[in-house]
Amino acid sequence: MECCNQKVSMISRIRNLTNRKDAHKVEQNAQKKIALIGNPNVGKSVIFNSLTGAYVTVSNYPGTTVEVSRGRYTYGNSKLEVIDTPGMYSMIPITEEERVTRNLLINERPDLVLHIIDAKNINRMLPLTLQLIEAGFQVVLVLNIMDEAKALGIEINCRELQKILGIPVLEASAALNKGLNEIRKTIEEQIKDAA
Amino acid sequence: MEQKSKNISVNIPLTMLKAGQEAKIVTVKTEDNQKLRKLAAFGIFPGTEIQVIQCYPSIVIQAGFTQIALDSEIASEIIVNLNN
Amino acid sequence: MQHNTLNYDKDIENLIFRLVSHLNSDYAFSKRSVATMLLQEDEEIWELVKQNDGSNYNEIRAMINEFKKNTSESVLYQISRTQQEESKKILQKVMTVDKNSGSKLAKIVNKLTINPITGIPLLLLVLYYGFYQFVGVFGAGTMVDFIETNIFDEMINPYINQFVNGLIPWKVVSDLFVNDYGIITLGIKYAIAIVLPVVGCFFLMFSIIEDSGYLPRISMLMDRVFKKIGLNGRAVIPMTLGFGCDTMATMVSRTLETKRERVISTFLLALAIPCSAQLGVILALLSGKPMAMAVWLVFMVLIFMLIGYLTSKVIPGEKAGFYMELPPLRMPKLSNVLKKTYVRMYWYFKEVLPLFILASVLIWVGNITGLFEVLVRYTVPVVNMIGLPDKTAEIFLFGFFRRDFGAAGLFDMQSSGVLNGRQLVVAAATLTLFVPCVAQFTMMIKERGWKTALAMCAFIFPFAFAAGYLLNKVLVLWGINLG
Repeated sequence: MECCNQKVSMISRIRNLTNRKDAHKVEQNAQKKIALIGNPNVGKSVIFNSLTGAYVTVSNYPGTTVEVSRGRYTYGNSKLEVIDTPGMYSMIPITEEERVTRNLLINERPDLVLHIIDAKNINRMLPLTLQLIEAGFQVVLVLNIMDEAKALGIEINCRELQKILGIPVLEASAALNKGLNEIRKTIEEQIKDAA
Repeated sequence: MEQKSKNISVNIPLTMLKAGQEAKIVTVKTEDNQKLRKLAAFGIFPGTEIQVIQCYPSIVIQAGFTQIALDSEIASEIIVNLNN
Repeated sequence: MQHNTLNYDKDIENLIFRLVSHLNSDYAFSKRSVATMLLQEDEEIWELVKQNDGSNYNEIRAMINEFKKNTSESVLYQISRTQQEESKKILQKVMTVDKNSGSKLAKIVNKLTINPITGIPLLLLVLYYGFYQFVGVFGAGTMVDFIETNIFDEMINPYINQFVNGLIPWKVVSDLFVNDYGIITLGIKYAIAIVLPVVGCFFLMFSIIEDSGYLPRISMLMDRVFKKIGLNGRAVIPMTLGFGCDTMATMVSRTLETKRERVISTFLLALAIPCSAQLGVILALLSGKPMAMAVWLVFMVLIFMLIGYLTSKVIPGEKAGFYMELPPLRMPKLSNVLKKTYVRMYWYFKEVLPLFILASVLIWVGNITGLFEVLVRYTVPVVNMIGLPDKTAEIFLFGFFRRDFGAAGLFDMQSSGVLNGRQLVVAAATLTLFVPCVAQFTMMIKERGWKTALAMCAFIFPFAFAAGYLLNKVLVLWGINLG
């Protein structure tokens, strides 16, 4: 049976070697986590939905994505847990949502942090990217709502920014379905390197 | 007349600006660290160039590509430098 | 490899270096980052360090205090300035802006929405067409009429009554499912015929307004008014949502910044904000009588402002300043709006339908045990006192189970012409103020704790009747019968 099924994942192979209880433990440990971080209003939920296919309300303003959503991102033989955090403006929390978000970072220790920002407001959102890098997270920066930024005459040299920060920087307009494939590809590449 | 045309640099609270005026933020006078941080997250920070869009019922300022509404208590704590 | 670009002033860097050497545990953040958060007086991080590096805690504290004594500028400030300046420096290298871009029309429309001279009439128009005409007249009027009369009363109920009564010969048992108070003929009928269209219309409208970026503009315009009742413009969002569902709004009130605001808004939601199901029924109830509607509206606004004002005087705590981003206005995407509406309605019905059924069951139990009759008998004098006929006692008891349930009962009474205009207004007003529904009460306990939730209800219960009594007296005294 087993040899016929090409798509037996690493995890289920391990499960077959160990007893059930231990296998559960292994699965818990093996599952890598991605946290989506950013202010409310930057299209986090859209990206979360596209990664996980989960049903989550798409929110536009502070206040409605209070609860933390979790989903599963599957590709090839791997599964990742994706955590959509409530809003975050700075590493130092003020509101309950920010506190929840930071506690998630402390307790869950995500292997990869996707910092999603509104490209037209990059000047006030980039400091958080710098702080996330300082804090030692493996960060991917997503410049979302790029369409609106371009309409305002904003051009951002991603390659240069990538070089300065030493992290992948992606452009996206998630609500228009643009840039989502690149986000997926980058996550898959990055998570391989994640410790 | 001659004196007036010189560059006069004055530090005043944001509440004293009229709609349309531009200024640079010098400091935010508050003991409340939380407020400081939150305002900084909105880009209200020394050095930021702002323009007042309107003054009533709330003060609305433009900082970069962001419009921010503030009440007058908070605006009175934001000290700006008005050039000319 | 990632590059840390943040380099603080030399003194701070030295201090961070020394702090890092005192942090021995494994934190989720780099030690450098933990040190900067300690410097920024982050209490949670201090607590974390106390737990993990307790032996060095006092030394760390002393180092920071010593440093702060010798610096004039706040450390917090210096750290965030470095973060901002570094970010600015980077952006100068990678970003260009063409100032001439951007739509002129968008700028003009934006100005119109925020300037009070044009913004307030615009807001009133949005409220009138969006909520009154669409939710009130179309949803609560046309749609409810159609579904209730044409579908339930004519097509479904007689058939179901006949079918179930034939199937179950014992009237006691069949009453559970059908007839006056049955699960199907009362519970489900109310849920589908009255609540569904109203709540659906409301959430649809709310999602459109939310996605257009208009809500923060309402906050901005209303900030001064909300300050009078101890809240600020930020509370516009939960308060407006309350007109859809008070339970959901109570949950969302946790996004307000201070505890004081959260308590005040929870209280006002419970007391004076009718939810859409209730509002829909009340609008339908009073729609034929514009004067009655006006009296109800003025009365509710007065109560809201008065109680809000008094509460803000009584409840201690710090006032929260108002600052909010005004995002650009944009055309809402239909697919997002529909998805949001669907998700909200799904949530709502998951919360509501079981309670509707539960209410029908409880009423059934109450009826066969005679308990309900006893309760009604005790409530009769109270409703008589506020000038209402005996039969309204039942409705107030229904109101316990669901606010809108009570209002819907009132609707049936009005249709049969039992109440005059004055009585309708008094009943509608009292019922609006009356206790929150079961779901909202549960949420109040969850969000604000037992004590606060019970204290609020202990106030609301007698207050609703006292206010109703007063309103009735005033109307009688002035000889206003309102048709």
